Amino acid sequence: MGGGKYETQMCVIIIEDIFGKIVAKVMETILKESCQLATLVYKLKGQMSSSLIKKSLSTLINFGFITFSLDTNHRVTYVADSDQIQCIISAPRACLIAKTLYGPSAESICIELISQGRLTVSETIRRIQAVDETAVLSDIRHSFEELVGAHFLIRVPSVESEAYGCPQFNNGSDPFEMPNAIMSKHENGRDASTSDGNSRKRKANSSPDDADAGQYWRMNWVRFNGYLRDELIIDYLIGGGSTATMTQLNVKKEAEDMEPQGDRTQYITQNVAHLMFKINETRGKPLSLDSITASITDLQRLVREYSLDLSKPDIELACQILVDESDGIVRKLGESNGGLYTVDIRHAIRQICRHHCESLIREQFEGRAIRVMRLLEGRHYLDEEQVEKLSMMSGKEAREMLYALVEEGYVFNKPVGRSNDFQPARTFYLYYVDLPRTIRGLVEYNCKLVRNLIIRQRHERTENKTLLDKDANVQPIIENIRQSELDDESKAAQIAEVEEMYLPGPDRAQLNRYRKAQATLLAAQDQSIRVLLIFKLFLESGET
Amino acid sequence: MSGKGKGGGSSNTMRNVANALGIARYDMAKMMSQQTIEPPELYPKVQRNPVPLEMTTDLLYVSRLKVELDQRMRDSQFFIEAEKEDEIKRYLDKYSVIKREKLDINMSHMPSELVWRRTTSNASSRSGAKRRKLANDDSIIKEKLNKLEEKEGKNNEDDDDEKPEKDNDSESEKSAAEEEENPLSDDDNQEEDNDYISNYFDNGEGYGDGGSDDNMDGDDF
Repeated sequence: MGGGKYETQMCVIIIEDIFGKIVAKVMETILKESCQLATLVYKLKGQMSSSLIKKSLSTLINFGFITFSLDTNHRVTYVADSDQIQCIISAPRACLIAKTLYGPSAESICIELISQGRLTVSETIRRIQAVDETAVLSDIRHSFEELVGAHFLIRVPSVESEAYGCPQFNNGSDPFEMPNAIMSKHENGRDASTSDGNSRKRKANSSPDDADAGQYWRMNWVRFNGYLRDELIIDYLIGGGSTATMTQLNVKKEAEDMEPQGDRTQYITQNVAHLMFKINETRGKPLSLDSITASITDLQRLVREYSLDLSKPDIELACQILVDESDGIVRKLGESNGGLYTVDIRHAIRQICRHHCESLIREQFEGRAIRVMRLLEGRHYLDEEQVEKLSMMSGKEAREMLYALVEEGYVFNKPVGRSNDFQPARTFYLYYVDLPRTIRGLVEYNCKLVRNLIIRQRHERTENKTLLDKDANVQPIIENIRQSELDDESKAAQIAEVEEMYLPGPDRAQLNRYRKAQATLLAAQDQSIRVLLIFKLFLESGET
Repeated sequence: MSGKGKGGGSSNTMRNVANALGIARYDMAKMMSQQTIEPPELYPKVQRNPVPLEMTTDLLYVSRLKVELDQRMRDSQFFIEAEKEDEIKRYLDKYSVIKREKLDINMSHMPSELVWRRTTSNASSRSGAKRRKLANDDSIIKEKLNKLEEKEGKNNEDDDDEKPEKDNDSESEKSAAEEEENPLSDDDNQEEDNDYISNYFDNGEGYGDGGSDDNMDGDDF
């Protein structure tokens, strides 16, 4: 709610990409204005039948993109939730998190839940087993429990009663309580399929046979976003993937002389930073902005728990480095428990936003613009002359730079008149930086970016549709040849022949180009949604 | 607003403004002559080229999974398409259609107004006799009683409310009665829906009047 024009457009495009035009149209109407079913039907009169509208609405509610409530006249009002829609873009990220933390079966649980919106535990298990027959029941169940234990999955509140045709949900129960009867339900399911009496009922409605029927689970996106936020802060503190590869490269180069030194420090700081966040992992609100506090003794305990190769001096060193290098994000509070440290989340988010802002300015203008920007940030209100003197630029340069910055919305000006008529000769124009205002603009800009990326990707897909279809035809043939009982050489020859016949050289080159472009577009989407997340968190935090 | 008008109006004030801002006269003239009305470039030049995205293993995994997830969504039951009717039938149509599962959502978690009847009617036709027996069950009767109770409550409360509401209620009561008599068919429902809409919205003016009355009341307070 409360999103701008481009945010709405982005949400509509995301929905259109996965659910088709009809659902997107319904979504768009509700995004523009929350309304009742009758109003919705009226607004979409002549465009689609009411049963399609109902189907679309149910789908959207099923995925949590639309919520509903009774208004004072006892009519059901539908409200769009644009934050939930944006999570679709970060869905693969969530799967990656699940996979790295809890292994492949956690990943497949996430995939099923994302693609179905909500599922009961037993349905999830059944679906995974249908795809991958080697999956072991206890394995999946264990992963499910782990995910729930870490609050990555959340239970959809159960229906308590119904009032005016609108189900009332029971919000009192613990949303992270696993049902006990998973196993018994599974046996029940088998019983039902064998015994004839129940089978007809099962066909009509398959779920009531499960012991945990009606107890739906869905992804807890807030928790995932909290994890993503922590990851982004750690990245900012110690340099994420890019620097990690850089250190690896360095190590390769200097393998002989001073090999472990740089790597070791990196290893220590990385681990300690991770542990600091680990301490507060399952706090009440994953997105709470309270600072995290950790003492050396706490860290030592965790080191033992995860059996890491870190001694007490190592931890102290890492904390010292973090305090020195983090621009005030990590601070030392006192000496109790061997040293008490705190991570200031609000400050961290602000710093990351500033960092993004500065890199944008660097891209659009030049290094000197950042000098002006930092100057204004430090001294708050300055007029042109002061900027010119303090930034040591010529008058013309400083002026042009300021105008350009104002034009792009990084710097704002405030006229202060000496007289009432604001006559230019007697008015000061004070320049200042207002980060939240700039970030609000950037959020819109970012939404536009994501929207354009999706549109571009779809365009590429339709352009290359014939090629993709051909490729889809060839793959099974090649797979057949691979599995046939021929020797390797003739296999290779046959595969080459088939490929040449269906997909001649230029086509294959085009296909590869398309694949590469698509990967880049999707990766860009992932990155920009991460930035969008941090921008939004900054605006929510209310920092100035 | 007035400042804007002045600035554009006479060249004298313009010069004053320019002086105050410290813009030399020839600069001003140059700027004025450069004014052209063109849309900005689609891809404006940047001072530094953006740093190319580094495709780490994470990003590769993410993009690959995203392709898979999107395709799954597009092939799933939730991708809703209108049925094409008056189009030329082609031989290839048979092959290009993606077979999707029928949309099946647990409707107990949804407001009851969203139940599109098509699927329920299908289900009832599948096990006709059994359905009929089930329909005599007291749960259905209870439901109906509840419904009627609800409506009664509504009527009492909203007595002074707008007329369309009432029409509506009687309409739905009527339809409920119809439902009792014969199990629903698609056509009936569609007609009903249409009736509902036109009834509800033809009287839109009455609705507006009611609203303005409310406002008047508010003023009195």
